[in-house]
Amino acid sequence: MGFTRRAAMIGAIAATTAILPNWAVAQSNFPTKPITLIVPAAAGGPTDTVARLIAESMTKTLGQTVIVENVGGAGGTIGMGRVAKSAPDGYTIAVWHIAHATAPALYENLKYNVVQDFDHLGRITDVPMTLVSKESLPTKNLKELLHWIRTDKEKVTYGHAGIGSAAHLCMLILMNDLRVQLKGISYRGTGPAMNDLLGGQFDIMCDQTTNTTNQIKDGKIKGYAVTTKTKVNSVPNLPPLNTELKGFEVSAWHAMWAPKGLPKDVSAKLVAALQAALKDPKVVERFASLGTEPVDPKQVTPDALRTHLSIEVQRWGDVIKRAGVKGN
Amino acid sequence: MGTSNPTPGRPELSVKSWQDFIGGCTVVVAAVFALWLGWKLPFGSFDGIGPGMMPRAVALLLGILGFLLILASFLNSGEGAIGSIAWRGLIFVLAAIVVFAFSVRPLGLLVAAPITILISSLSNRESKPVEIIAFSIAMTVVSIALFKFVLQLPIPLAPWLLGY
Amino acid sequence: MDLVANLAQGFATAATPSNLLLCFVGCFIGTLVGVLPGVGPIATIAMLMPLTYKFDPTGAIIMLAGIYYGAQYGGSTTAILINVPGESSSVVTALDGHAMAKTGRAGAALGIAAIGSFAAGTVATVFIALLGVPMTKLALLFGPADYFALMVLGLALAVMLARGPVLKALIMIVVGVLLSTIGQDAETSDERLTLGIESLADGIDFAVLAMGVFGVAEIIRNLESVEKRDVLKAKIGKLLPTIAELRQSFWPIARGTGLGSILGILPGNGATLAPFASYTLEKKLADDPTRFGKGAIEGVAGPESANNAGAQTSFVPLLTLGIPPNAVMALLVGAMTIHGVIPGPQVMTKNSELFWGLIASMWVGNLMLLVINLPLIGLWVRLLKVPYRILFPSIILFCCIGIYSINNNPDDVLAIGAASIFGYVIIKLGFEPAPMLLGFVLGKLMEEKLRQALGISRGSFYVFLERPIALALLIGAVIIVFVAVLPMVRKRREEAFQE
Repeated sequence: MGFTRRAAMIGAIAATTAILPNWAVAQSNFPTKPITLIVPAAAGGPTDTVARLIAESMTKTLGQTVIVENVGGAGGTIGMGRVAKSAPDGYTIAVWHIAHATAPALYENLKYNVVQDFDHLGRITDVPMTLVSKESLPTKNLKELLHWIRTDKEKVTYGHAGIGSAAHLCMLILMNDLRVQLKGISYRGTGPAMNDLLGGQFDIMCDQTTNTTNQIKDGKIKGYAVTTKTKVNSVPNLPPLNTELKGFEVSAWHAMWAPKGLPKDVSAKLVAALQAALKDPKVVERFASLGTEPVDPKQVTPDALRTHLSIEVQRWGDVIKRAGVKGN
Repeated sequence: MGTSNPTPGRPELSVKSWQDFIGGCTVVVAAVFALWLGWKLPFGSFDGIGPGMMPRAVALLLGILGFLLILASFLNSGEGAIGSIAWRGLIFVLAAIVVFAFSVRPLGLLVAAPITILISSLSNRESKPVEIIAFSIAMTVVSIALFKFVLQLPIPLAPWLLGY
Repeated sequence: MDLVANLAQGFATAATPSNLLLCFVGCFIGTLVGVLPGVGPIATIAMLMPLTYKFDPTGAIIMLAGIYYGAQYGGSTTAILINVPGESSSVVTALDGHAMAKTGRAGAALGIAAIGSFAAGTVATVFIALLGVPMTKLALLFGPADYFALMVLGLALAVMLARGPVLKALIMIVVGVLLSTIGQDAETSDERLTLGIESLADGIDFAVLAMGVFGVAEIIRNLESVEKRDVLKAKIGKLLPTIAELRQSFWPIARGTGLGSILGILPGNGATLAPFASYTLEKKLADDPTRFGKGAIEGVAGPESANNAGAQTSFVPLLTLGIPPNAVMALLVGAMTIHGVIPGPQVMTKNSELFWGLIASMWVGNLMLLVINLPLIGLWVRLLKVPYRILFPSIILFCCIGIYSINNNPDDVLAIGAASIFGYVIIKLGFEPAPMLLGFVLGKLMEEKLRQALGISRGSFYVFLERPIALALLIGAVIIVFVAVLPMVRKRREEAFQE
């Protein structure tokens, strides 16, 4: 008897504590109508898929439909421009990626400030990258590879997923650090690029671990280094690139933004829903099949994103200017 | 061939297939337009193909083919004729689409669906008023049930009435 | 053997309740749109694509594929019963199928069409399973130059296979390629030929173009004439063919299956050629060719088998090389990318469940189609009696809702209107829209591959001559164009001489 009563008590307390935070936030009854999630890229791309998965999960948490609207064009600046201009009521949000940080450097006539005109909600994904080469390349380790790139710079070709893509930016930094100019081959995503790397059509590529790990383990391509500061668990025998090139660090990331000036409680609700989405097993599973993974939960906060973005804007601005790349 | 009687006077030169003639002219105009639009795009080199190479090369090819079609229209009679144009169908079908585009967001499916059905029905002379009205109501119910409730697509239903 | 294990995995995937249901829904919708003249699988798949956001990729592709091959079945029903091909692929079936129907053997024609299609579908399933692994290995040997050459070959084939004059088909392909260059350059993101219109910055959406040209423009064209549809008044008769008829059909089915399976693999919509090739072959081989056109059962059995086999094997280039051989496959590329699956050699390794599940589902789907088509034939006959004046407004509404749902953007609906005007103009000028869509699909890929090939070779065109695969494919393309153009030149010369 006492047992059941105690259990009931515990249950009641647990239930109350579970309800309490919800109730506290629920004072403002946001959201009362569907939320528009702007994706500044065409339907069907990887960002679109990430956004739709997040939208579906947030719909469940918020109790209102999160509608994905694709506003593509001009490297995402059309869509993000529209977000910057829309009302800061929480009913317009956006999911975009590293290109948000490179936009100021790539597009001279940008009509908004990528840091100051937005409320930063949180990062979504953050994936380390690896420097890989075709299997037939004779170089055995990072040192030899870098040496070969320096000496045979006329011959080296690299693949990337389009100007401004993470794979392209990674190579820009590498070329900048090595003071070489290599021939880039543009693909419409790292998937098709990987096909050609597997077939040995070009020499090297910088791609997310989620795409390269299995291919490296199967011996179909050669892995040389990871682009993070420290080693990565899935490929423990690859050294960080910064052991050879000081300060080298790149990763592919997505994040969520809203126009500047959201009410505090609205912002808190959106952030909570985003955090919940990233713990949703379905989201995690589908992320994995897309070749990406949710960011460390500590990073899913407005402050962490703002800091991260400011750093990224700064360094990519320098790199892109030095490389002389332009968007439009 | 050469020995057969040479026809006196100039050979008759007239359009044998108006469909091909107009088709060829349209194609040539389109090609010239595309060339003009793409004129300023950098051509690049074969090592680094610029954004202008493909559009201009393709437009040029299209212009040549269009010209050949014009030539052909003088030689053979072609297979079809343009025939009459379904103005009524064209106008009402397009009107239905345009009305849907402008009404779906502000008015929602509850209004946009029956209007679209009604307007597009007007494009057919055989349509009967009672049948159309009954049918538009039925199709509205079906499409709302299917798209909104079974498939849960985020289409506005009736924002002015229900708020979504 | 690996094959058995792979197929076992495939059947395990295809047999989950949700996938079975999706397969059935796909086949059923496919039959529906196949039966109804004027609604095709292209517009249907484009309409239904947004719905698949909800499903997992395998289920989504299984359903969309079911619509495609289901439509092939449905198309023949209409061809036999009312002498109007429900699908362009069943033009040939109408010849002898309807003749059989007029003499009271509609049931036998429908029966043999379904049996032949099922047999062909079964063989094609095994054929794809056998080809999958070697083709994927071959695909890894393909560099950008080879892909480019393959697509040139595909377009050359499309010119040859198109109905109507070769020159006009060629023009349509080039128009398609030109349209594909509209929008931002994939590499430099310069805006090209956009007239400064913001929504064109990302290029023309394939679904919009397909729906406008194949959905709405068709409707406007159909509205030109008062509808005449004489649904068969005679009895359908027994659905099961007699033993003698079965024996008569056995070899035509076998030959049709073989022809279809091989032609389906060719890029450039080789599958459309299959029923024609089979019909010609059967007529040549027949003891009494004069029976053809008057209700020869071989003239139904062969082409129907060829058609279905070709429809199925046309998945091979998509799944192994990542090159869509026709417009429906191009839509499936879109559907796959929505779900993060990149068509190409990596599908088999990265998404092996999808690859083998899809193949197995095709066999399951064929079995379902047998059930959907034969016992339910009465339903389809009744459906054929629905007048067009009631049908077409719903098609327009569904097109609007479907395209709106892809991006939740009303501008896309307006774009369909523009695309349908364009489609109506080209139809009126006597151009065939199908090659244009193929040109549009392959155009972007071709530019990309050309750039990559020349980038790797540092601007040297020798890359197309040095690589044996590329060279062989280009030579093939040249031969095909010659074969296609020669008769035309000869004919024109004859005409000129006659004057």
